[in-house]
Amino acid sequence: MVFSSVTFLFYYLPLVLMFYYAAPKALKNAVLLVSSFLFYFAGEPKFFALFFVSILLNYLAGRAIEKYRTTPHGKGVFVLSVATNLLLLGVFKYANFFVDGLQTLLQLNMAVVKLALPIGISFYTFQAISYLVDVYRGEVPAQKSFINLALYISLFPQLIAGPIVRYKTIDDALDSRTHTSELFVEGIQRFTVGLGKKILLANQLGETWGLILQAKEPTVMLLWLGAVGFTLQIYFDFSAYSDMAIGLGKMFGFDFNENFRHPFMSKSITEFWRRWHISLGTWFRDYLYIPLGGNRVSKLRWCINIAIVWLLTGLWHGAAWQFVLWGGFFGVLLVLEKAFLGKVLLRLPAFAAHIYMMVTVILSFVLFNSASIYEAIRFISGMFAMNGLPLMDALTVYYYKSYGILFLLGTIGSTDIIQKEVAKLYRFKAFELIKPLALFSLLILSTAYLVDASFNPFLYFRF
Amino acid sequence: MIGGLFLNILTPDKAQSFSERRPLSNLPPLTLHGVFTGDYSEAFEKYALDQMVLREDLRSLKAFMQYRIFGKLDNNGIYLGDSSVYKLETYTDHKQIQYFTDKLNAVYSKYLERLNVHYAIIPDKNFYMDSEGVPKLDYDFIVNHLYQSLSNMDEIDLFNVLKSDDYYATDLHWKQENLQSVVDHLMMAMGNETKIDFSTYDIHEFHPFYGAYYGQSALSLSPDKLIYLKKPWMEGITVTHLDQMIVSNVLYDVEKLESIDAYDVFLSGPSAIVEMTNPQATTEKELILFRDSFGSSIAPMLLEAYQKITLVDLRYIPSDQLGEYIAFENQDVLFLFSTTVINKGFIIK
Repeated sequence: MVFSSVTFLFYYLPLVLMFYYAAPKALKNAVLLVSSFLFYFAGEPKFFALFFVSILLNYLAGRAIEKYRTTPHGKGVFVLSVATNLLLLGVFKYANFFVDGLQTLLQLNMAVVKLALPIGISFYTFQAISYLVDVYRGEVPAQKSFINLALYISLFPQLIAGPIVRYKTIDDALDSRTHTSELFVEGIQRFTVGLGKKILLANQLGETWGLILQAKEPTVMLLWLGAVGFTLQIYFDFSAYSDMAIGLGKMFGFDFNENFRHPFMSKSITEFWRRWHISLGTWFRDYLYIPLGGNRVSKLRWCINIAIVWLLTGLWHGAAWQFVLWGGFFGVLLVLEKAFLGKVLLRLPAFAAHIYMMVTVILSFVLFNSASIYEAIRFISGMFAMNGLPLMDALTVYYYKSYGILFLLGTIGSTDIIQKEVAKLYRFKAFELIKPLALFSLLILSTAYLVDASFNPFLYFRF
Repeated sequence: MIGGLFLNILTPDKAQSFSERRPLSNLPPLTLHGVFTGDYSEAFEKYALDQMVLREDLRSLKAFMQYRIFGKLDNNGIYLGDSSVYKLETYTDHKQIQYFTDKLNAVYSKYLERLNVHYAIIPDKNFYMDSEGVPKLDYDFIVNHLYQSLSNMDEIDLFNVLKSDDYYATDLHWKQENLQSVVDHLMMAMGNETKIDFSTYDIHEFHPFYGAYYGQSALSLSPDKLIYLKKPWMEGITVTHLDQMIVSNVLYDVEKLESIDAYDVFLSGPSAIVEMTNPQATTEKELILFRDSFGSSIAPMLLEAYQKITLVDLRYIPSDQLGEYIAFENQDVLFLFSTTVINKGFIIK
């Protein structure tokens, strides 16, 4: 089930909210857990058993790690439980990739059963690992209640597309949390804005990539339209999901950390990654980069650490070589920025540094969204008129005219301009009256687009 | 959202969408198999989308937003011209066009080698759109490809005979009452000397006619007037749907005027193979008309000049079965297809 579906908006969510708020305090977590299980089951019934077993193992492992933490057995349980999580992720997400790679390498042509990717496995596995690590480090006590631990892993607002919520950020809320009308209203507001971003902007901007794919001979400008369109789409799509997750969290009394902070306003790739998918970046920093030694090692070792982190970041996004290359590309840029490029960028005018960041990110997302490295090379060389494509044609002009306002709205919406302008409106009392109307209109408009469209998947479901 | 939940539950489900011309999904039956395979969730979302309260109004709101707020030039590929609604087709599919001509050549080789065979392309109305820069099919490619590939047949050019007014504003089809010059052109090219005079026919009107693009546009547009032309001799004809063995004298099925698609008034809508005989025709000639839906409205106007017309829609009957229904002897043969169907040649069987 996706948030931007009629089933979720007009059946599942209202029913869950009614049951949740009708339930006594002692049963609220149970209601939310059953709802979250139903949410997962509705989308992925065949993998529900795997999901449940994974939760159970992590619950038992957490308890065992805490019990034996100071003994040699504690480390063994910890390593075994983390390895089990990684093994499950490896088997279901990467087995096809490695087997295909091996077949190519050894020139084999064996028939192999293709495994489907369980929805959300990348997210819930990372959440479970963060829990086990934090328990092992003694930063948090193991969760005694199975319901609470299961709820942490399966909480439907962030279950299938993040943000990756650290256990220590919500462990208190799992035991006891307050529900206020202010928080609830804030949650509705955040959720509705996210829904609008996803449906009104992301879905439409994403159509431009399809124009490239269906064009018999794309023009240079059409390739740029598609590339920029997808870059904006993935931002609005993913950040919208985080907005909706954070909003839903608030409705149920949870406070999730921010996952995006206007990344396209950055002036370097280093800054970009501090603003983009923050929960993933900090996860890799805290659970991989720093344990590897971070930057407090020799230069060679540091470069190796960076390479490991970024190749794995790429691989986390998808089991294909273009994702590995995508991660590696950012790793190289981050090393270069640390070495000398960062200082150069600081001396450049802000707009020049911004253009550098934006062009780099756009090209990276062409690689990210291409079906293969070969296709990415074809598109990128086409964008720079290196394979004889025409610059523009009548069809491209039509698309620029047709998508012009959307691109303008998308560009403005990806900055903090709207947020700042809306903040100024809070000075006016009338805004308090207008705000609910505006949000209601946004919900109706989003529903209108939803009803008119039949295909509406979230991009980050494939990770 | 809670309000939406109750409204959705309390509002009775609708059977079909007139604007989209399709049946709407019903509440799927809850089965263990459906639940455990995920089919139920999928079917329920389809149902929820189809039966969403105020669905038509929401679709109109979306269309309004697309055109007026987001400044999109089209909505779901529907382009609003000054006086007509167009479905944009931007991709000229060479493979499907090749497939289409291969199929026609196969029919020719199997049945038509000794017959008087012509073909005519019906340009979709986008060809006549005067809006600058709006994407269209590559009509030159289609015309040239058919000319080169169908070398055994004689081409009849309709591109210069039709004009934008000859098509309904809210539908893809041409207007029967405007086809005088098309009929003249076809008759002359096929060597039939009968002069068919549209002004001698009685005019029957149906209004409002909401064409296929009306519903797709989801906007409140002016509907068309559907006109069909009749003559007294039409009472004496025989119309046989050969594949279903339904015999009648119904050229214009007026009950269809109240159906989802009023254009189905012409020969009762899509049909694989229809034989029309007119004992009062001016000649003893026979015509085999390979056609798409455009053929339904022009065929009655040709019947004055042919004792028998057999209409074949290769979208609904495989060409290798034609011998079971038609004795190919000395008939005139006309392949009359719109560019829309030619560009989607894979639908030809």
